[in-house]
Amino acid sequence: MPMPMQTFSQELHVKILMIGNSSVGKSSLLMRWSENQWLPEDETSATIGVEVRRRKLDVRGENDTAGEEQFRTMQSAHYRGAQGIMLVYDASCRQSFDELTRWFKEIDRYVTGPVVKVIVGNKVDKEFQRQVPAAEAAVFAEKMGCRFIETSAKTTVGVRKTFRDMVERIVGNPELRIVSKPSPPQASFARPRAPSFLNY
Amino acid sequence: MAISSDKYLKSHDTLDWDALRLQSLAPGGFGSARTLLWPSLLHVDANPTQPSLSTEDQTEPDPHRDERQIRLDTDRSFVLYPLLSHPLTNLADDGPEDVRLARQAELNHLIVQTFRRHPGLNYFQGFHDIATVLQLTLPPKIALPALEKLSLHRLRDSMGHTLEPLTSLMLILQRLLRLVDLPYAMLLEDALTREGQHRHAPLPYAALPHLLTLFAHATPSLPLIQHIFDYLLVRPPLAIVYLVAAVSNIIRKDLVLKLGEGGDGDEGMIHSVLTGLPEFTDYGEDQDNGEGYEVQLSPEFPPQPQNAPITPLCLWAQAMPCLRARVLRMYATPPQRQNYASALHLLTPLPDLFPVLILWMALRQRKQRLVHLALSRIHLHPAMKARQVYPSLVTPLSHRPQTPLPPSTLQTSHFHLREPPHAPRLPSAQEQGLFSLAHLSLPKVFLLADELFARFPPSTPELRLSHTIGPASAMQTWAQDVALMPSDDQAEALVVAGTDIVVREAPTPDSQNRKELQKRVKKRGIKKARKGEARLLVAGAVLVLGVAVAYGVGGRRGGGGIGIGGEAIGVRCLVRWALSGRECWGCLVMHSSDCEYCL
Repeated sequence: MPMPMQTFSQELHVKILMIGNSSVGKSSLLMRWSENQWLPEDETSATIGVEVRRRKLDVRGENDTAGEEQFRTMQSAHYRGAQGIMLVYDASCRQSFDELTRWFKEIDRYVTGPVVKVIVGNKVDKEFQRQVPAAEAAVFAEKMGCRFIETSAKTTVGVRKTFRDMVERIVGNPELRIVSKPSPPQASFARPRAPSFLNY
Repeated sequence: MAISSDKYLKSHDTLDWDALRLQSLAPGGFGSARTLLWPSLLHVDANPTQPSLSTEDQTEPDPHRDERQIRLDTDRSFVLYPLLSHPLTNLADDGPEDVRLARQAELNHLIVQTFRRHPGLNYFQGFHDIATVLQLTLPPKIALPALEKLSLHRLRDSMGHTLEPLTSLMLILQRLLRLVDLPYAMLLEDALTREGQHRHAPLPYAALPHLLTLFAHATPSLPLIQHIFDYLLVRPPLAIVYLVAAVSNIIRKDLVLKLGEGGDGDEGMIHSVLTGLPEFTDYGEDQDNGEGYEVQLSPEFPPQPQNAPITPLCLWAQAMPCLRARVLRMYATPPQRQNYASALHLLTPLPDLFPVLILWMALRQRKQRLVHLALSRIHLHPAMKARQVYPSLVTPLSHRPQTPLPPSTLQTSHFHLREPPHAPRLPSAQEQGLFSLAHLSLPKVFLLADELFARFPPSTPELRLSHTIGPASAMQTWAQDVALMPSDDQAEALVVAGTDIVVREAPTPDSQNRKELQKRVKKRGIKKARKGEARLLVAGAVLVLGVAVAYGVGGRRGGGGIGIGGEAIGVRCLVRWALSGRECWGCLVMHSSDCEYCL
């Protein structure tokens, strides 16, 4: 793993928050990353409140928030302690990109310390419906001082890289306070990536 | 279904709320009578003076600002509930995709109409989950006024500009959880605090979706959520807080048992609790033994040709066509713990069969945690417990050092199963303790919620209700008597004004209390999990035995035996037993030759 090696008695806890407009694919990205799975649109439903996923070895602590306006007041609590924030938009939906500025304002409002930010353009598999050119988003990201990456939770493009990048930058940033605590030996091992439990 | 709504009408218009409250506790709740009862409970005008939908279409009100979001959510609706089993649908001839689209369009129309009629209300994500339940329960003409009333008089706190009023509810919930069981409440709060999310008095955010959607977001089947709505609609809006508290308290056992698994340190405990939280929200619903369920065999059942490669799961899926899609989805899901939990969820319509299958698979794959989860869902028949075989047979199967059973700390069991006709002898207290695992049924949860409400009513000083929830909140303005409630217009005006819904307290005493509370907890200690763990391990071993013997039955009797991965299993026996209820446990375990399900 690209993460700097830790001693066996330690594990790092990293909290990454995903925000962005409703229906841009935050939960799908999370699902793809944490379980390598993708559900077609008609099999997913809206996230209510916050969904938390954990993945060991690389990263732990992953929050996926509901995109809708009203939940935002509830979410101030979830910003607390986050070392990384992914701002997700839908490359096939102009509005979700334009409203990223509002999400940046949100971050300014709730996050006080240093935090690693990444702009993620999801759904690039819908190339023919693209409304946001990658170049434009890259320029915007540079202006906002954060990285930019395009992904597709459906085809897995860029998903692992996005999260890996994020973790590397968090771990490599001495300003960020990363919770590291001793843990029992067995917790240092990743859960084996066994096949589906129904496969026998 | 035998429940008639007439029975609950005291006079022409007055509902007998007490009788209804009682009925809502029973398995199945109001049954089909809810079609008539819900509108009455929501104070829907029986003779509407409002223009009906069709005439209103001519003077269409302005679009609502939230319609885009509504569209986004309704386009993602009807994921959970079976589409074809709804009696009101006349779309059964179409393909499932057409039905889904038609339902989504209906739902969208229903919600959009509600908001166009009441532009002062704001949509929240999850509202569509609630609307779905009404849409699938009530006739279309009633669903709209019912949804309006529900929104204006019960849900409106969540329909203002922010969801801040939910914070108040979570505060009340937090205080209630502390009142009910301080060590447990502290455990959960600690877990959240150490995760770095909340440094001061973390709120029970895991409960947010339940508080907001009245369990409609997570409940996996329509009959279950209908029953939950039966319970809630006949009680004040605040009942949701007590229900969430009851659910989380019943889950406690599972959680605390799981704490025992994770190693010795606090780390293991905390981690288990945290990962338990998604399960905690998932576990809120359970099989209700009532009339709500239709367990039907598809026409092609029994489908399997001899020697066909068939798994227990696909057999089960074939037996339950309406759940097949969900099973297939599960099939593609890697073995994360949350998925195990939701897999177990799927079992609820078929009592006990699926946990057994899951258990069987878990044992094959040596997934201990899954074994434990499955075990927690299985009720053992007294006949099985009474068999004094396990001390001698556990050892060769388990390969574990024996853990002696603690003799004195056993709980009384909660068996409500019928005794088998030839019950060998009553199980000893020791054996009962061994197998007394929690079985979460809706009536049980409801009873507990009612008990909590009775013990800690909203007026309880520690809940600080009046210091938290303002007089304009729906929690305060709702009344059993429609005359005491604000009118629809007044209710909408309260939302628009947005004042007096939340009372802002001076620095929360909750966080100041925390250290003191924690001290109290430390004195008492919460490490009761160890004993439970030991019991679970032994129970697991015994079940290995049970399942192994079950294979033996199939192999010996031939008939229904089907090869699975080189092993013969009495599938027919297993399925018939499962469909018959639990009576056949004894034969499954003891392969008695006079069991009709084994023939």
